[in-house]
Amino acid sequence: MTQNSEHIMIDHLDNLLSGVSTLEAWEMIHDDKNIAKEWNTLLFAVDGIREAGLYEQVSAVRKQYEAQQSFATKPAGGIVRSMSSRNALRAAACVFLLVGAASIYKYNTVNSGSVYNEYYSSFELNTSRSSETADAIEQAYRNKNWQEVISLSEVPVPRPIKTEFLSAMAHMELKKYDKAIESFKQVIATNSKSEDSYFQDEAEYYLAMSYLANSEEAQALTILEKIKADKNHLYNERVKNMSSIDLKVLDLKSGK
Amino acid sequence: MKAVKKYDDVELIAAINDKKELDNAILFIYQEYAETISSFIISNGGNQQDADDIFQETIVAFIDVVKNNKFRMEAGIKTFLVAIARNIWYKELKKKERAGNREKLYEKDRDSNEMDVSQEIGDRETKRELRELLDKMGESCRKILILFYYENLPMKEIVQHLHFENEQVVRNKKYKCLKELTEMVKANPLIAGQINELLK
Repeated sequence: MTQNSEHIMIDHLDNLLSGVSTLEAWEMIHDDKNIAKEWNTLLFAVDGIREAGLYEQVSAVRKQYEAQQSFATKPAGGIVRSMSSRNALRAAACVFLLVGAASIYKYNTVNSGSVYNEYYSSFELNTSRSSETADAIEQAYRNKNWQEVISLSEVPVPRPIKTEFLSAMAHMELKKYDKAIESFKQVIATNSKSEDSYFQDEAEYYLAMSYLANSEEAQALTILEKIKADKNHLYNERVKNMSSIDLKVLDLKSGK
Repeated sequence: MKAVKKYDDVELIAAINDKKELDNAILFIYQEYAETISSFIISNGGNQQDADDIFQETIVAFIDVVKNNKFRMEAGIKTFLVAIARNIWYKELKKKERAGNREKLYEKDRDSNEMDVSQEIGDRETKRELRELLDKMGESCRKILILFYYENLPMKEIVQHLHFENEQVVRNKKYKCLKELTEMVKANPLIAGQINELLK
């Protein structure tokens, strides 16, 4: 089978052909057994992709459900034994004390800084770009040369979005959270003006992380809730995997 | 627990067919039917982990049936889900080759009036094999293919999501990834056998 017929089949699969081209593709599949086999292989492959996508989506909701379940009081399973009311009261008191102690411990130990430390991981630039095509600021970022990233980003405003974003990340790495917040906000503002979404998801997520690092819980939680509700958000899965208890504690502490 | 939107059977089918509502529909299925399916699996030789995994497979199979318009509402959703879970669980038992007698006992105890959903759900084993092929691919290929063929995102949005240079780069990458996947499909004896059967 030629590479040309392969391309025609994939275009046909992606509904990119029309009119006569569609008919020709059908004839090609119908008349040539090898091409028919290739076509069926493609259909199976796409079936697998859709299955994997659906499985991934159900898996994400399963995690959400399991997190919710951990909050809910579940009835004890297995054999139910009768218990005297005195013993039952004792058991209830023990459970109450344990839950109380755990809650107090959680309340005292969880804060925006601890959540930030647990969930922050550096942003990695896509490795699909070769080093030859990467520009100076990308190279400096890949080399973790944060000061150089900041120097290179000192160009007249409005700065290109990538420059603004990498500058924000560099400030974040240097723990200059106020400056990072300023730049992430700028990325979001520029995107909203141009109806673009370049580095939008990343800017939102890392803005939330900067707020956490800066002890601005309420602002961080508002963004994290938005990301959690948006299944297409690049960081949806990561936020869904954050401990619901930790976020609840932050919510209580922020008095939101 | 966070309140989840409630659906009757007709509304749930509509929600499954609505991309924006699908997450809520799945969460509702979990909250409404997880206990029923768990009880069934556990009382038929499984443990909690089996129950959780089988229920996840059941939901995937059910959504697949609904999206392919194969759910005709002849039975309630709960009955249908139990029938799917039973089908998947018995096949799993066979696959695991648990004690032969025990397997026969389950089969013997099965009610002849049980709902048969094998036509509707098709060959789940093949679907699982296909899914596992995707898991063997690199993360970037997997993402591109899922965003394009499952999420139906246009190339422009994929460029922004994954930070490629332009649409042509993504198009080339998608072509290579699909080619890689089809080679894996051809190399899988179970799936390749089925493709050859189709052409006879």
